[in-house]
Amino acid sequence: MLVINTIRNAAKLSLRNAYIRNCLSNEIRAATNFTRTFSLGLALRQQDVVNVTFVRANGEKIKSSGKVGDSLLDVVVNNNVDLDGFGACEGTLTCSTCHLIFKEADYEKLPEKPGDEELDMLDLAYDLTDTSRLGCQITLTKDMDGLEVQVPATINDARAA
Amino acid sequence: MWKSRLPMKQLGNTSQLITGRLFSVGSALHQQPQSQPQQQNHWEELLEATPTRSDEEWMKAKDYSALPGPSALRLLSYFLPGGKLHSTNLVQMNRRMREWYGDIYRLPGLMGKTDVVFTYNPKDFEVTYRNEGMWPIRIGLETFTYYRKVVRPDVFGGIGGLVSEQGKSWAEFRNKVNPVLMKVQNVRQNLPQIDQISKEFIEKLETLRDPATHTLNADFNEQLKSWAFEAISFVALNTRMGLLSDQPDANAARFAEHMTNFFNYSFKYDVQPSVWPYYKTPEFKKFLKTYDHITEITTNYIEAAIERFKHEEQPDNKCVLQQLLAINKQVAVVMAMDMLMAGIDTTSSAFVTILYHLACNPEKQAQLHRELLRILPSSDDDLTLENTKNLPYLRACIKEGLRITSITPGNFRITTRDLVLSGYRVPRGTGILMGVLELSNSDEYFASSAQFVPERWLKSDVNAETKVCPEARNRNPFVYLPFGFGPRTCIGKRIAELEIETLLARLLRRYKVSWLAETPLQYESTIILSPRGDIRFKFEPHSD
Repeated sequence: MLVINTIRNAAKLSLRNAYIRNCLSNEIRAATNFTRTFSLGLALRQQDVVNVTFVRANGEKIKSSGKVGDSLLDVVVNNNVDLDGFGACEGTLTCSTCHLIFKEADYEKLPEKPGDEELDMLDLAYDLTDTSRLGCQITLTKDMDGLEVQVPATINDARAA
Repeated sequence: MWKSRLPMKQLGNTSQLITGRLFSVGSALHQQPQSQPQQQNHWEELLEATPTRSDEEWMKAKDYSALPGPSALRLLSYFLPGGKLHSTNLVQMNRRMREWYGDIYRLPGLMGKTDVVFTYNPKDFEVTYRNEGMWPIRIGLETFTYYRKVVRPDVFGGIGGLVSEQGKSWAEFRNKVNPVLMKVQNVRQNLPQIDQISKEFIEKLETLRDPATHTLNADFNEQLKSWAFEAISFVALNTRMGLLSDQPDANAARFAEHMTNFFNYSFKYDVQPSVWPYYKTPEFKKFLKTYDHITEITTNYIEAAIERFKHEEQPDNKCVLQQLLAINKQVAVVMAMDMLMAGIDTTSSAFVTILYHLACNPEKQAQLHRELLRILPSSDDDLTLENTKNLPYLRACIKEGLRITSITPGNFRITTRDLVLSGYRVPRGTGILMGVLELSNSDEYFASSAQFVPERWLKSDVNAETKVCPEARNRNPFVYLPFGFGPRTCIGKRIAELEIETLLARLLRRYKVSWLAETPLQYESTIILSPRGDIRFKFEPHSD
């Protein structure tokens, strides 16, 4: 029963998410597709690609990528990375669902320190750590290529466990 | 099983204000011909469609029917003349019920409305917010929805706005306006103009201030409302009303009067018991007229702004109204109206509250003054994006003031999922009222909760004298959320914070403020908690 519930849940949420994402990113996606179609093989373009790996609480790794200047939330949204409820407030700093945990060395290297608004929301994040940030506030730079970030468990994972 | 308890199409009322509406009879939209069914709020459709939970936590929890609380009949008897809760206000009523029933209790839904579970446990707040999903349900003012969707679909084209909409149509609207009103950088762009309005407020204060006694020859609270009106109409309409000058805009006073009427009527018809869904009294028709006036004046100002934008040279950064107009004109009209209706009394009430606590705590005020001296060495200096970045003590003072009196005593959601709250099963579709104000004034969560201690909110030590309180790290952060949390957070949060920070910085850089009234600040509980009664401050200029 629980398994069925979980699957139904996931299906429903991903439908909702897909809807929101469509609203949000139609334009972005159109732009990305355009670049992809026409820039394959151009060395210059490829330099702008930043590879990111998301590691779920259960250890599963999801490889993805974005462009320099994208936020980590953009990477999740643009690539339809399936993370339950991620980015519910769309990067407006009113929830903490895009909470990500960095390796200490990566955390120290992040160019911008968290602002007051981000710190307030981080306080409300589930499973907060000393190297936590909100994905919507992290802008990709070239030297982040190969970044690996951990996606903390959500309260729903805790409930299902 | 729980389905039998499901409410009808609409339920009353907003957030904290459940009581009165328990008596309102039925629902307005219910009565209407189903001409535009797709535009109505069938929030039941948003409830999760999965079978009832069967996990361990749920199975172990106590049954919903075991929740303490009065029966429907008992509840009614409380409010009848001679009843225990007759003519108490909302805050008093919540307090009494909590004494009788404990930290979680259930009020049965009357007249087909949904049950409401009142909780005073921050862990329940956390569970509620974390399970609200992408489209949280929060029911708004019913008259508002009625006016926009039923009375004037010609103007609003079915757009109810953030307060009225639920589900997909809510998300569509919120997605559009979020980047304009919630992105920190975008809102803070307005700092120079908001700062200019603060400067004008202080000039006005100077003309009203008796230099010998340092007191005002005017009602400070009323002056503050003018300030809040001036600031929000700049943001929403890109129009300076001139309320702080000698020559206010000809329509501004009329506009302000309609806003006050709206607030009073809304309390009467959205909060207190009323038969309007069945019978439109002459006074209710006047209320609808007030809505008409506000709509008309807002639209006129926006039309004038559109003309202006055509002829003016366009700056690089588009203002809030231009950004909203770029979405479309209906969105701009709806959002501007909502900002004006929700952004005056709320902001000014919050400001009076914070200033009152600073006035009563001179040593905290002195600490704030030291911080302000650093960024404004001369009191004529400008506030800039750069120098306002690091104002930890100012922000802590604002949080602490709103902790002691958050102007909304609670927050409300209808849960879309089955939840376990304080060990009880709460089925989806139940209203949940989170009693924020009570908890943030409890010693259990805030040591010496009656005292104004901004240090509670510091993230790191400001200097040797001003250090972080140890409690800051251990507190459940869900105890204090004056603007709510998640996708349905107050859309005006950033604007309100910007306005309050700016005026507080200006005012306290310039004056030493003290409280002159003999009694502590009093509040009236209506749609929000508004300061009432004797509100007198003394404003002594600092020598530097």
